[in-house]
Amino acid sequence: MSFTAPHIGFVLASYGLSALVLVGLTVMIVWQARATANRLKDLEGRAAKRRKPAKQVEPQ
Amino acid sequence: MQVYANPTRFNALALTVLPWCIGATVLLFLVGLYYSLIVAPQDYQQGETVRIMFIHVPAAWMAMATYTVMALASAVAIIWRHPLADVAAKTAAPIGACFTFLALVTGSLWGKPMWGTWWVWDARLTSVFVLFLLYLGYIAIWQAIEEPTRAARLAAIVALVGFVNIPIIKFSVDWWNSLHQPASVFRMDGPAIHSSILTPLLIMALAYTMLFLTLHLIAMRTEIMQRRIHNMEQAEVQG
Repeated sequence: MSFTAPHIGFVLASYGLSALVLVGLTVMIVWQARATANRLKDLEGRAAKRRKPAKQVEPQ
Repeated sequence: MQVYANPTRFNALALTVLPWCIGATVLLFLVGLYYSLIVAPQDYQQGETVRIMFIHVPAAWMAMATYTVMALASAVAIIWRHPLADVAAKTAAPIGACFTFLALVTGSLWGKPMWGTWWVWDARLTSVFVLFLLYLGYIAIWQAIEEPTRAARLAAIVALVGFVNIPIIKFSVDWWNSLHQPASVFRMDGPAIHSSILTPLLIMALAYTMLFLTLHLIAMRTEIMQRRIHNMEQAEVQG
């Protein structure tokens, strides 16, 4: 690819913008997946704690 | 297919397939960009601007393909109430909107040096713009309606009605006069493009397809988890 060719700015802008949008979309989807997985783990941990039977107190 | 209607089974399958999808996406992009930017020759008329085709055309194909996936999933959701169908449709929409946005903008960046204008209201460009609005409308329905079952039903109807735009986009260059060139790859008498240009185009199209598959699988898993969180929170509130 020649960087001195006419209209090269249009080519670079197209590739740059495509990279920006696709990388941005990927980061957004992966970030959302991680945040949701953490939230679910947290909720499941809390639910498991609630389900545990209360410790029985030994009679004195 | 019914076996994978179960979200747990789908999650397990997605986890197995995802590393392969990610690997294939990265590899295809590396090879595709090498062919697009280094190996492919300049066009005798368009010069270096022909390279815009390698990202514009796959984005436009994926914009239509993603909407087709959305419409098919919506049909399955309405007819068979497949538990994953509206998850598939909902999560495809933002990805499709991005592809459509890229098709419009890179097309505009290609049009300015080649046609002398950024935009014309001809059938192909206008129908792709309508597709972009359909994506935004579909996403807006999911955002605006709080009750998921109602949102899913209305969004599915919009997706199915909007599907009529896909053949219009495809055949607009044959049915009406347009600045846009007619089909040059998927034609009855074979591609009208030289292999030195066709090869990078097809590799990039595969890369975009694999990117869609990868992102869609991740987004579907996230949506399933979000629905589980919603149910758990509801159960917590109800005591």
